[in-house]
Amino acid sequence: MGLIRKGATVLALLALAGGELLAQRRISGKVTEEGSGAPLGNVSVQLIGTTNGAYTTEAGTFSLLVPNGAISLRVRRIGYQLKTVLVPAAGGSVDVSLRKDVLQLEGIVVTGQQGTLDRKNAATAVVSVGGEALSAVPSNSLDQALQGKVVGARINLNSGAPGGGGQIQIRGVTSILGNGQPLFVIDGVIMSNTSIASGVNSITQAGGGIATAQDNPTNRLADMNPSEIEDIQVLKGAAAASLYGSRATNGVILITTKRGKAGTPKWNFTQRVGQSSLLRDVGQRRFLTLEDADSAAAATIKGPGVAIFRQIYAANGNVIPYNNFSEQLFGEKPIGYNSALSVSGGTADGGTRYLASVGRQYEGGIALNTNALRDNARINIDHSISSRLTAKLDLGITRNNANRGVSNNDNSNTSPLYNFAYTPSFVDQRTLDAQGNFPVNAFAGGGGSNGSNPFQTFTFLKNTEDVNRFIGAGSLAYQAIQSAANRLRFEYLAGIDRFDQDNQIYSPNFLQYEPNDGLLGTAVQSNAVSRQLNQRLSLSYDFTPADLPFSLSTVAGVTEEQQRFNSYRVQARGLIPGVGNVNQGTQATIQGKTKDVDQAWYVQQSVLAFDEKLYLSGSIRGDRSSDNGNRSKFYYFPAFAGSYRIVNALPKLDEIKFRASWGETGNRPTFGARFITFGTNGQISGGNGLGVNTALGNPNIFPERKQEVEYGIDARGFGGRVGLEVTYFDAKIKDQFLQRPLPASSGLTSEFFNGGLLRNKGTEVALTVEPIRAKGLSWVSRTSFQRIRNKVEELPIAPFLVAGTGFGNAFGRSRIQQGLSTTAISGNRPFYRTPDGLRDTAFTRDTVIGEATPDHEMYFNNTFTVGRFTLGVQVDWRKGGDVSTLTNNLYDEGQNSRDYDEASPCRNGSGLNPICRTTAGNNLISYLDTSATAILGEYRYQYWNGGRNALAYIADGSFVKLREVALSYAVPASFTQRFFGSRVSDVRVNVTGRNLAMWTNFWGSDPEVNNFGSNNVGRFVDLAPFPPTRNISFGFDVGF
Amino acid sequence: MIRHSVAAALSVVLLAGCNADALNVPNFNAPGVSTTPDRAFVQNLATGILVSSRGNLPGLISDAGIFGRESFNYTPTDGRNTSNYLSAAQLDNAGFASGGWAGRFQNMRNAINLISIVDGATFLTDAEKQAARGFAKTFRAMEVFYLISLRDTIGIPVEIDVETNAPKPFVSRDSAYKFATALINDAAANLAAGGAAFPFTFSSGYAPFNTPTTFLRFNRAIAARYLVYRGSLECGAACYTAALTALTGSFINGAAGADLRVGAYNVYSAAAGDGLNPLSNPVSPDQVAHPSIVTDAQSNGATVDLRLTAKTTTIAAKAPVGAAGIPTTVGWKIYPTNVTSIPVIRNEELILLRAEANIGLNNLAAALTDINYIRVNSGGLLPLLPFATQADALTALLYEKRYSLLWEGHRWFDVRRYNRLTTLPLDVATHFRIKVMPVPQGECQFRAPLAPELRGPGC
Repeated sequence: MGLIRKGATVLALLALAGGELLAQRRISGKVTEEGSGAPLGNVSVQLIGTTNGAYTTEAGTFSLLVPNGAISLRVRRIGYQLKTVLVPAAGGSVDVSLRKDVLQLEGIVVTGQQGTLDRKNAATAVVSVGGEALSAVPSNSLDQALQGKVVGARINLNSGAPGGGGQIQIRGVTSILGNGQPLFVIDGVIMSNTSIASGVNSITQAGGGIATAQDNPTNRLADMNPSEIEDIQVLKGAAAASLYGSRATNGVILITTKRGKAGTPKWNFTQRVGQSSLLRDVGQRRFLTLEDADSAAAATIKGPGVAIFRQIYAANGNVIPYNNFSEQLFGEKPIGYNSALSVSGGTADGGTRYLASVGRQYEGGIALNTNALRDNARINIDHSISSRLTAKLDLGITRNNANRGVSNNDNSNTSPLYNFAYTPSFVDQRTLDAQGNFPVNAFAGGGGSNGSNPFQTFTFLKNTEDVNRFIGAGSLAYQAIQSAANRLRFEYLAGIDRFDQDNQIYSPNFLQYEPNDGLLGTAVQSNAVSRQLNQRLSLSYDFTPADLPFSLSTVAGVTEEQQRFNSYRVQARGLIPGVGNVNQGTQATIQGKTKDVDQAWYVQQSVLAFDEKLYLSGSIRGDRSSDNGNRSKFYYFPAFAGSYRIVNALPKLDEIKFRASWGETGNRPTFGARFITFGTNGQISGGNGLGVNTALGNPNIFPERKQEVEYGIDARGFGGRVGLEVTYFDAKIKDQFLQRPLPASSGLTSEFFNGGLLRNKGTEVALTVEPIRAKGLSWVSRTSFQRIRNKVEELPIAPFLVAGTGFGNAFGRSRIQQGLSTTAISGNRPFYRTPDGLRDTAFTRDTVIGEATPDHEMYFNNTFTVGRFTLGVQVDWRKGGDVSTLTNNLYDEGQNSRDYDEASPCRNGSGLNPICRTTAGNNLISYLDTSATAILGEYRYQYWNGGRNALAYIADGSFVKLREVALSYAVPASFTQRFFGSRVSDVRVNVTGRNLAMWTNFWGSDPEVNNFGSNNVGRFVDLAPFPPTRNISFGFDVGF
Repeated sequence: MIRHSVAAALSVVLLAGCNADALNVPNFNAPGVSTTPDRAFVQNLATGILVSSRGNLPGLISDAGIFGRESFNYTPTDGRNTSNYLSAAQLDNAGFASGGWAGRFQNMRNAINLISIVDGATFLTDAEKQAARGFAKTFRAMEVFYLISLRDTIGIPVEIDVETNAPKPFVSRDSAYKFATALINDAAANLAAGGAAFPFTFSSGYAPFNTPTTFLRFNRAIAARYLVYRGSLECGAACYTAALTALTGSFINGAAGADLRVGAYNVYSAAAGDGLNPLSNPVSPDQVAHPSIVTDAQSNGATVDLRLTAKTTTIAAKAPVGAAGIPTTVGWKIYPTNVTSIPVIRNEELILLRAEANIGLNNLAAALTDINYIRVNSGGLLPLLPFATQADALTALLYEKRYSLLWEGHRWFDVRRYNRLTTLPLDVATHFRIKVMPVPQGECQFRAPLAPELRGPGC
């Protein structure tokens, strides 16, 4: 008997209990802002203890049918402090003024699956980000919009390519080989945020096969349109996320989309037009002497290179030409735009409400022929079938198209920065010859088909991604009991998230690099279909006795979740000229299909007591999954949380709350780990071969488990002008999903198993201050701080290197070793003295050379309002966090780094520095040239010493970024009405900027990039990325 | 009314959407070990052995080619393809030159799996079972032979614990050769009782050996190669004699006009799921030949050794990345297209093996006949006069083997067996001549904490 079926029977029986109808009257009123007296629209006015409520119009007015007798109204709007208003039995009209909630201490937070709680009582740290904050400045993806707004999360974009491609990590690394992404839930639908490689590896040959994680993939969160979003809540700790069970160790991100509001249709139109440009250029060396140019010319192709250079030099009138390739290729200043139109309305009695929106965003790429285009449409409908039965239907569709060019690691010299690193700046790659052909690059890769001309590649190569996505949800809620003291509600929700992703790559026969695999032309077709379904049946029961000092809330439910993923790739090489179809040429296919099914039940009980000062909650979830070895076994995830508020304890201290929680979450094994199978090892003569599957499955595999304790203090004072939230957490993640090595002489290489313990500790602080609050003038400042430390506390197997995290001991990569930081970077490091310090000797050890996790990160959000002008500024500061910058290494090796000729630290023999000492006869460590001619590029490359000193290219990734600036002006109604009539209200014009400036000592284009896409631990490799962009937009918003 | 309909609606939806066994999700991508076998499954396992066997050979040819100064891998993006083999720290078991290990044990395990399934199969006749066992054991023995010829004096583990996957002890070179010889002789006995046909088909490269009777000839040819190896090592005359016996059971053909190319081959195809020849010019344009092949080639006075002109070509100079080696203008045309087959063993080698065994037994006249047959027919060279000493005969034989079996994975093993590694040139003063391929670091790390008898001597 199905779990949900059992639950249904119980709930159906409970549903037969009922309530009664009362005589009614109508009240009306107006809501205004405290101080300014401006009318407030979209304010929720709700009859306490019921779902009965209304929203105010733009004029701030509302009207509501309420029972006879004295009632209480709860009046709230996001960004304002909640107010409860008592309306006497005779009262028919009520006016309310709301105070701005600059401290974000008001509002509602989610407690697990569908319970909610006033933020002031919250016992766990939950971050809320309002829709306005997400769409104030245009972003290429939701990841980008969230950067710097979620204290406790590290959010970075892996490159600057149009269309996004980022990753979110909440409270550190929780898993080495399992899932490392938060769980995304949009309006109750569990949503995929997978990253699917494009297959551009067929061109770059960065790794084996058709596609790799180095293909600069887009994570599918990029399909979301931030302007559809009302609110995002981030459940960070295990106690907060525990009701999501075995998929929640990385936190849960709950996205709520905007919904319709009763009343006449209200239209909103937003238009933005902007321009993108290269934020930071890696540059190119300018040759000052013929000798330097000769040397760089000979670096890849020896003597012939010098001859080519001398020819160019002579033809240019004995002047060395200069080309800054990266600026030439990534120097486009494309126009982009973002349009959004929405309408919201409903029947006057609020019985049916709707919101419909359409949006289109076009983002030009700063490189030729790169861009992203996203279309979104959404309809959300709320309908009250009766006073007790309500239904919701949400439909969202997306088409997301991107052309992202070639970038990141390669072995074919096709990735632009990789290529430019080996091409001296005297070469002109852009000017077409008399026949209209691009010049052949004779330097990078040795020229010929081992090299490429990126300008030619970007002109003709097609790398397109097309995603069509549908996210829909339907739910029915039944209010079985609604009396003053008892409220019982049932809800059933079913959701679907389905998308298909189509990637096509066509590299025509005539491109310079094309014969490099012996076959002219490459075409790749990749398709993936993902379908996720989830359903939930739940009840919530609130007991609010009038004569007792407490109230109780109970939430219980059963869920079933299903994820199916199916993909294939076809590659064709050796194409008929001009035809990019994969039906010709040689072919290879890869197929993968996975399916995960999870079933769970959960119960949460909470108490609010003593005038809502004490809050206590306990919950448990039981999970079973098709991915566990024992699929019928339930794994239990309990959580407890409590908080206590002290009001007006001290002068100026309005309120202080102490909170503590403990909870458990899980991370189920990946699909397939529980199976012991044969391996498919290819074909010969048309026959399929089966052999040993070298990665042995484990039929006893079970979920990773996180146990986290969290403490915090929330305080506000000075009349609501200062707020402070401090959180400390300590999480142990045990039973890690690992692969135990087996001796290769057994014919196998590894076996899945559970073991080991990671530990993450951290501090999160958010300080909000409103230094200025006067009529027509305000300044609100919010400063966040986060610090996380990851450690491998126990590891039952030998230290191991995590695949796909770096480029060997010569550059640093992740090694998981007991006692070390989980995010430590390990690589070769030279030592110059014996351990006793007595003798000079040189040797190399593969040891810890860096730490990828920053010392701390801080976000500064400031909003200034002067009259009708509002200025928002967000600055992000990251202190520390090392990056393996292979880009720098490539440019130095090619003798083409922009700063190659600058003075080196060893110049003029700073003999005290051991790395600068000249000692002959030991070839383990290179001893550097200390003569006056030693220059920076040579120095770095020699210091690296052929990879014996990886420290040379481990760089501090500290930065300060001016992430967002938004200046807006609210046009006076008198002005708009004169030109557009009285229908038009709420006109705003704005100028915004994203990534306007970056201050860093980092050599490459951006310390936040990552060559390996989404990765649990390896997020520190800068290797020829698509450089980041700056964006400036102008726009307006109109409501009518 | 509404209440009842809601409850009913909820129940209907949930009953439809949920069933208890929804959690029973099979693996869509590979068959489980509990799959009930049938003939098609046995076919897949046999094909899997051939695919793995094909996958293991090119790496051996490339590795032994560099060690034996036949070839270089001048991949422009990674100088370690040169330095790790010729000039960097010797025997770096985490470096590039540590291959030919895991894949061969995997294929040994493939063979063990096939035998265990065949043993329990009710759908095969006894003769078919014997044929299948003979096939699997032959390939298992081949993998042991390849492994021990790469690791030589440091030894290898030869057995696999398929129940616990625990490591088995290393055995000496002699023991490993004896183990594999016994296994391949056992396979021969199975094949002799194998009836008229195998219960599976072969890849096209094994077309001359696709019945138990004909496959036995392939089995004897492989046995002969390693009996000759053993003759030059601990075993001596007994093994040379056994090799001559084995050769008579093989497909050796030294008659006038015989096709020297007849043999077993690994075939490639551009079809979906199949593989391309990884040593071929289109796939590996950076695999180039050592210049000494040209300078050492003999001539008949008018034309240079035909094997040189047939197998190499002049290319634009290629140099290694970094300063680890010398440039070369000699390229390959042994595997010109991406679907050119790679020989496993062929008639030309068998004739030279017979000559080698005869030299070992001091039958120099018999050896001269075979050597001259190859010199004249394959190299277009003038026949040699009778040898004065065994050593002279050996020198002549090694020349013929070098050019007849160029870049097929032989020279390094041959010169090492006769302690003639010093005949390999050192192109740069810092270069070295590697004697054995190290055991990979992962294997040694696994064994490091174990009992002494499991730790070495290979690690």
